[in-house]
Amino acid sequence: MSYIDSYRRKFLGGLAGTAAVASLAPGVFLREVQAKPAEQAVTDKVRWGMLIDTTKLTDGGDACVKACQNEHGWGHDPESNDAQQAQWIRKVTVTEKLTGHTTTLPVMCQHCETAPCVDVCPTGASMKRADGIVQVNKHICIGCRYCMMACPYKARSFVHENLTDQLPGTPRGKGTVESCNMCVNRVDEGKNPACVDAAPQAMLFGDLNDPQSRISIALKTYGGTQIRADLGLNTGVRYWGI
Amino acid sequence: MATKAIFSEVKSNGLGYWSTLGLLGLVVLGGVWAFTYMHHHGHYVTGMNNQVVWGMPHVFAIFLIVAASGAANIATIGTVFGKTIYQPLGRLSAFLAGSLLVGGLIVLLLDLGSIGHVIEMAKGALNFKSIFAWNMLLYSGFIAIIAVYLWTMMDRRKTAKSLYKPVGIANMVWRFLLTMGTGSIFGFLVARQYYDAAILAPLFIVSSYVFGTAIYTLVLMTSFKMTGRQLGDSVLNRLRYTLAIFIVLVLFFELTRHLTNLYATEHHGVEAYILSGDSKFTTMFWYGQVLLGSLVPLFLIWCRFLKNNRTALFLASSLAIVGGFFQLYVILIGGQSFPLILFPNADVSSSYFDGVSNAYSATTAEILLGLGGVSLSLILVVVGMKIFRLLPVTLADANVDPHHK
Amino acid sequence: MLSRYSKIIQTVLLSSLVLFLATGLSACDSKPPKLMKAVKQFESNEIRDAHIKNMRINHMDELLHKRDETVIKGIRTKKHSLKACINCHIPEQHNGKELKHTDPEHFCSTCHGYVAQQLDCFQCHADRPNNGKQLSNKAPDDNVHKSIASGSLSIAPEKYLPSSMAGISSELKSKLTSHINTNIEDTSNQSAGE
Repeated sequence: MSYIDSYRRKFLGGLAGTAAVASLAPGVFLREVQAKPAEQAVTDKVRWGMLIDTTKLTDGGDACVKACQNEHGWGHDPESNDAQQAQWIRKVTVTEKLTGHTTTLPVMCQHCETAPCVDVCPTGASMKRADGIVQVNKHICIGCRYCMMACPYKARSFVHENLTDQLPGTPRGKGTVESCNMCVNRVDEGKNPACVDAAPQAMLFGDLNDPQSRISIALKTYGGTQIRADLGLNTGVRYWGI
Repeated sequence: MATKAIFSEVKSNGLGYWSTLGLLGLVVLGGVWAFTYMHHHGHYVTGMNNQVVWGMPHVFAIFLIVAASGAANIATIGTVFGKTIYQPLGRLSAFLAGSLLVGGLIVLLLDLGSIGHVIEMAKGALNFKSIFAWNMLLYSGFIAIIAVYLWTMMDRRKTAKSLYKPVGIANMVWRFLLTMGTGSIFGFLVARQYYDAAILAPLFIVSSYVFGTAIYTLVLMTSFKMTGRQLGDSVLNRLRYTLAIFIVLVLFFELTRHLTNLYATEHHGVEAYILSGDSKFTTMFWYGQVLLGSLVPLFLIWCRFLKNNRTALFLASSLAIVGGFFQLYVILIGGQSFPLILFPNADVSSSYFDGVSNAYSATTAEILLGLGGVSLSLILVVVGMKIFRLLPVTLADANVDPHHK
Repeated sequence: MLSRYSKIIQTVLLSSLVLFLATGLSACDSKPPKLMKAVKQFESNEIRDAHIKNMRINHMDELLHKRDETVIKGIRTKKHSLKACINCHIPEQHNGKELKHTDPEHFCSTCHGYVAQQLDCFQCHADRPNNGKQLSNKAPDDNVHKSIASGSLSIAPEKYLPSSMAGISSELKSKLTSHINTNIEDTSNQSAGE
């Protein structure tokens, strides 16, 4: 959708404003769904999704990348070269050949409903949680990298060296595969993913199964484009402006 | 008039035997070093990265696994199709198949990032939507079937002999499943332009016949030469001309695959990259696989003035093996080198190598790991020949050829 | 002649076996090595002793079971949290430096080093508490804050009030405006400084 309606811009903000009237406590403002209780298992009643309005990203997603790096501690593994360095989210610049139109957007794990990475993992380490978040269970990951071959979005990274400075909220280790996990440690505490909070004017996070959630209303009204939609993966991450 | 085959262990204890074992043993040690080096430091010491995730070890491993399947084919022709001239060749064929598979599996296993978690995998449940999980069962089942098959060939009792044909048929079916499974590792990947094709499964099957027959021929000729046993032309010519047919079949499947891809606009990019680009893959495909690996061996096999020429057969088999390596390298590495197409008809760039072709160059450790696997397979064969009665005492025409006057 | 040699060989073998066992067994004591004191203590000794007993026998089973509950099912109680174990048992500083699992005094390494069983956990998990500080040398990135402050992220809160709220009082409007400002800063605080 390349034609941006100014009404739509206000609509997204308007949704934010409406929620502000409903609840004025800071921190709850940009997130409608409360965290589930810690002792409760996740269920498929909720399906987490993201909506990214690329036209509203002035830096194309650089802030999102930085925020993700800070949250999870990737991007500066000392021994790995540039091609071996992990990259959970990246800014991609796309220039269409015919029109010359350029878009920049952040690309991360798209959290597909039928994820190829989940299909091909022999151990079941690459898994989809009941609430739709696709992640790697590194306890059983054998490091075969087949999921990396299978991912249509090149979302996955392999840790090529021994790590000693992991952040407590994000375990990551040598010989296992990792990727954007939609900040599952934050989501479970009732917070937004770090990238969403870094670009709140352009990114929405919410429950795709709830027709009253802001993300569902936004998607129902204006639609949302999947990258590589022809693969039929029904991604949880949707874009405007690509 | 074919006489009943007699088999004997390799008795030679001389310099040839021990120097062969010694050389192979050194390479295996090199492979062990490579594994400890890669495992201790992590994969940053290799040329593999997040763009080209599978490298030289996987080329070697897949080659060995595919060759293993094909090497058992010589036994199948004797057992399932009842060709008596192939039957004395069966024991070596089955044993060679088992050894090649073990070597390939070990290379694959030792390259894993977290080998310790394989124990977790054995304790937990496998994901049977994954062809990898199926392959694990297919590979281990293959070794079991080979063991039983060898027993039916070597045990003289009636029970064993009555199971010879059923187990042979089971072996043949299992081999088909196994090789289709190996080809499907790539064939099932929708993400990449060079994969995502059902034809990869049968392509791997016909390739397995080429690799397996070529390796078997080389092992047979070398072992008979080194043990001073007679090897007649009728056996060698059977191997010779079947090798040629299999090479033609590979060319046929490759032609079908590339022509189909060239028709679909979606695949034009990757086809141009592999078939006519400036990259090393183009050179490897045309000069490595097609010329050296297919056309030159066909010439060496079919050329009239090279009829019955053993050097020509040896060379043709060697070149077919080299061509097979190039074929797998282009499929594995070339397929990963071409970028994923997230946005068609657009120029794409990013900090994660979107829109550019990915470079890969194998490091010493990776090559040593692969060679270590090859040497391990060969050591198993060499030792197996000494312990078991795998080799027929003679394969002279008078003894094995049913049509010999 | 052979029997004479075999007797000597037998004696040598047997005595070396006895010597080995004696020296080896003498090094075994029935008490485990001394673990460093936990950072936080239980309220009562009974609870502490029960915890110690449970952990000595069951900690591996508990770890294996609870990690699946957390990763696969998303259950994140304090009892399921490895971070909670680390925060209780590993001090932030020990003798002036950070304690890593490669140091022998690290709580987990004390026993694991003694029995020579490799710890796999800290291949991935952080082996020491963080408490909001970055472990790596890199300082937390302040670009997000700077961008908001300088306005370069172009957040103009007034634009975000829907035009349908035209009838709203100006007092509520300004409250909402300042509220939107505060919350955007709050959440960016959260993302950068965790």
